Amino acid sequence: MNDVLLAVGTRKGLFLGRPGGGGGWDFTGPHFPMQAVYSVGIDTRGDRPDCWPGRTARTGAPRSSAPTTSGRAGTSPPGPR
Amino acid sequence: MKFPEGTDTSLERVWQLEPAGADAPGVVYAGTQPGALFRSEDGGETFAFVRSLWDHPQRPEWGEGFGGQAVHTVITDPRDPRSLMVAVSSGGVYRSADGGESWAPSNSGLRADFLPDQYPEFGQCVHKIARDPVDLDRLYLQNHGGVYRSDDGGAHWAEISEGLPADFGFAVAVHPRRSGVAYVFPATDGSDRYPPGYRCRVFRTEDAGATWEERCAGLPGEPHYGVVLRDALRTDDADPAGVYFGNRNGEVYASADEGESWRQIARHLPDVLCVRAAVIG
Repeated sequence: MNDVLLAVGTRKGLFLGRPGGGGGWDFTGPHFPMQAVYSVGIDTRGDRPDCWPGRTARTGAPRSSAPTTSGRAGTSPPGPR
Repeated sequence: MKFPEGTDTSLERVWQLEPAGADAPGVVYAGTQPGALFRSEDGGETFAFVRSLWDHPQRPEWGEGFGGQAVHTVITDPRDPRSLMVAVSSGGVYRSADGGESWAPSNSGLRADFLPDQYPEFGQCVHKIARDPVDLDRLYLQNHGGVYRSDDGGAHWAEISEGLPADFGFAVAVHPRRSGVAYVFPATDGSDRYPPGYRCRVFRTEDAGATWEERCAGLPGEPHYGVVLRDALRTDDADPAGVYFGNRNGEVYASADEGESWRQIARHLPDVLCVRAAVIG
């Protein structure tokens, strides 16, 4: 089976899955806990894939506050790259 | 990534992070809420505001969908890095042929059943677009009412909803290599955002939308209420292709055989907003 990176953005963090034994999948996370991850980009153009989460922190912040949002490759969570 | 001074606008969400093609290494587009486009030329380290879309004279008239007012889809063209398409809820489809220096609405044939004029120049609530991997002028579009196809790069759209249990939905995905193969996960309608009949079903076409086939082997058979959001249905680039979707129940399902059969691979997650998959080894 191919080695696949599956990035799952949720209302409360990012989860990363890889195929495991017996047809199951192993997930890590939540990365960026309590941050809504509305978008994820996986860039396969380089020597190694980069995973960019577009995340929004709203923990306890009033709606008028500017949330923290980032799509930088440098914010890639630990895990497969 | 932030809105420049003078816009009096704060960034709320990043709805899309889209690497451009191999001919544009380092270029990444970001679609945001409020509806705007940003472009990076250094692999996402820094982003520049695409002023031309923000200054488009129609932008102040864009509406707000149930999920907010956003540029949520960015489509690049492997043949031409200057060719771009974005989708806005609710503003419709806009195209640029000059690398984002200018934009024009491209919604011919797309319905906006919530407006008095149901076929306006712009204002449609487009939910998602995906480009065919072989016929690059062919695109599939899940609208707020209707699944559509364009065969001319998005200049015109024709409805291909016949055969689906409902024409509403959020997500559309394509096979990574086979032309004419696309996937949708319908919802009943805009006021009843559950799977039709409360049945968890993916629908696949292998003839560019002329016919649709229900694909639910391995999916829950009991009543199911998990809707799939616009970026939560995707394929990978494996052979055979993997297909994945996550729902607002916090479940993730995967198909290792191009959608023929499914297996639940995660559950009890927070509600799923997006999925992306790629072969990495």
